[in-house]
Amino acid sequence: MSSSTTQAPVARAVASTGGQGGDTRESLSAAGRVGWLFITPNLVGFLAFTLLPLLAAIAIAFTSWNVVSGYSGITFVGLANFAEALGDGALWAAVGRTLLYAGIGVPATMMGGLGLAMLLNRDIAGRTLLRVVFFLPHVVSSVAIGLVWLLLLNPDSGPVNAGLRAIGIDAPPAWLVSETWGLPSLVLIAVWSAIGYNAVIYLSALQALPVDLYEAAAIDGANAFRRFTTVTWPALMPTTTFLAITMTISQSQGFGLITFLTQGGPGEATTTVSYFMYQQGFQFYRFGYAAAVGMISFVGVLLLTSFFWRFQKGRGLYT
Amino acid sequence: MIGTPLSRRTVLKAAAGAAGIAVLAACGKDGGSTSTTGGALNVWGGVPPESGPNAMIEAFQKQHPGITVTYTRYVNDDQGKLKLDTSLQGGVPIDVFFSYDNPTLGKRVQAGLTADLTGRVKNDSGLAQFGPDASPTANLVYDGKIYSVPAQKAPTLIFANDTMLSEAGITIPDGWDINDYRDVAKKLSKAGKVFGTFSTPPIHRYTLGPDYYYSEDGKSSSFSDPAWRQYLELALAMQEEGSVLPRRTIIAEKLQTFSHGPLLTGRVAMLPGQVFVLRYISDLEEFPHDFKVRALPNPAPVKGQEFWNDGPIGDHISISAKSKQQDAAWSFVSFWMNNSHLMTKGGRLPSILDPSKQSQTIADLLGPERDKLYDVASFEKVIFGTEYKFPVDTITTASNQVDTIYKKLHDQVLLGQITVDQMLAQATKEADEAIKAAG
Repeated sequence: MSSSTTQAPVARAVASTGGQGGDTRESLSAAGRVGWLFITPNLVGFLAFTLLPLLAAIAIAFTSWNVVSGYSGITFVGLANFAEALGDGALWAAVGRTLLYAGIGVPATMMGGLGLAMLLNRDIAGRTLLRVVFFLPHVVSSVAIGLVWLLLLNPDSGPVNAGLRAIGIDAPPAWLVSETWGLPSLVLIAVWSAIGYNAVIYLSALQALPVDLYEAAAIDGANAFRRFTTVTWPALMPTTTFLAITMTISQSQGFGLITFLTQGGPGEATTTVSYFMYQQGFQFYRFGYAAAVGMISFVGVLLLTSFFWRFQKGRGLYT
Repeated sequence: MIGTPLSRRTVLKAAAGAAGIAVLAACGKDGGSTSTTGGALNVWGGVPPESGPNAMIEAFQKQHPGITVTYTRYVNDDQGKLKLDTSLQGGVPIDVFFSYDNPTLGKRVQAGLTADLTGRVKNDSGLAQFGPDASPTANLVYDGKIYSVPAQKAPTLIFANDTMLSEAGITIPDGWDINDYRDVAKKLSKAGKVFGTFSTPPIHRYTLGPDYYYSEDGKSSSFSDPAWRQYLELALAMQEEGSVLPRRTIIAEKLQTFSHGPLLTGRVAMLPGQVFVLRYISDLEEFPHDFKVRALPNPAPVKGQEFWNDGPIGDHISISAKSKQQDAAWSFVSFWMNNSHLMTKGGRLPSILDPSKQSQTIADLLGPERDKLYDVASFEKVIFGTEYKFPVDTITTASNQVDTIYKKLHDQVLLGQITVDQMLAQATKEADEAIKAAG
């Protein structure tokens, strides 16, 4: 069988433009090499800066290592770090705080983002400007955001408490300096800074929804609520799943705001798993234990992610 | 150009070229020769170059024209310290480096990153006072050996707003104690607008001295010592009566490290602090103020009794064990130690000081506008007028953990979230566990 009649279109194109390929196998191989060449920079980056550190972290989790002592100071300790983690009350308290932080923050951000997207999807005055304004916090650095909120939530001189005093609340919360209000304050700031990003993603999904479905629903007599539950929500399910997964990952790893605003305090009120890991590694030089905590955290996030993935199956318009 | 596949040879040539460039680039970073009279030294320190190191290096290079010194500033926080550690470990050419506390230096010593300086220090008559057998102890000693020399020795003191003291008609009694201090702080306070003091002086540290977190054998914590309770109860009482800036304000405004702002804006009248605060008092552009600052001695925990000053014996200079220029590096270390007065303009008091140069040191420390900004005589009296007892810590077991535990619980007490009893019980439990786990 001659190659001219059996080769795939792409390979044929390669062969015909190459002019020196000879048979199909050589042409395919040439195309493959070019393909590899294109992805090599990215692949090298991925291997060097993602996969290798990940594998190293897994290996370090089974050791006792303070970094300063160099590679010769690495001691294999088997599962000791994991055993310690299982019995470490401070870690599990941090896990609880992380679940609270992400458990409130993720749904609040997504619901806020969806509401905002539906509002911005309407034909309202200044819509473009509003889209930019709401997206702005997403592109501002967490340090700048933290600084602004630090001033706003200052318990003595901040405008938030000044406002609360003005309406008769004599003892307003101490916000970030309070053991009770520290974590809710951080959730509020995290929601505020991520809501615009969620709104933009939802907005793009809303604008891609098929109009005929709404027309059909309207003809069937569905009111606005019914149209939302039977058309909009199922159609948005892939977007919702994407946001739920990415937001859960990012919120459970939330670190920048906590480091800048509270350093895990007051007391341990805002010490989440990420900050706990940072403390163990970078303050106490217990990198083996920090890596073990990282692995446990990784498995937890993986389980949550797979839950979201399974949950959305069969519930969407297209799944 | 899909149709023009790259040959294996071409790819190999490109890779070889790239590797060659990388090798050449790496060569450019190398430390240089090993001569004692020529070559290049790399020095890593935490002080901004313009606050003394540049002047020091310029003077050194003038005396050693064959040696070029490159100073790299690292920020002495968690990330900065780790950056230096990994650089030392990873073979970045560093010849001389600074450590600013005992636990950090201890880790570097244990890891073999620091050269043993015992012999060099013993053989240098000017530096012998920092040897392992010197009395009183003036350096950090590890298993009878010396791995650094301290360039700084500075007492802590109380910085006071002279105008506020005068307006309140307050005279500070000689040999004042903590009760006098509290009385003065109360008199200087003005109902939530001015607080007598930024913080309660750490009388537990004045009492316990070196290794104040640990019991005498170093195998448990010291939180059961009455000095801790005395300090915490006093701090709470002063907060309650409004004579000290509330802890929640300090946390909310992030004043824990840089505490000079409230003094220079007139929100507090007194500030217990270290000599480096002078840098900010002299900086009228950044912190404009129209009053003089007076130096007061730390108050005694108990009147008439001797106590420790918690000021640092610090700026520990070490030579990297991997440095190929040990002799040239020692020349630099020795020069720095003998010329530490060049650092005074940056707010650092030299550990070696010719008594005849005290007035000049004070002049350098307080800067050209000293007569306008300071009660100069008070600084000379407080800094040089007393023989202070400086603590030299020797125990490093779980020191970062214990420090973190204390700071966390200290905040909780002063925020009213736990009682002193709860704090001390919790601190003892957590610190003892950390010390035991670290062995």
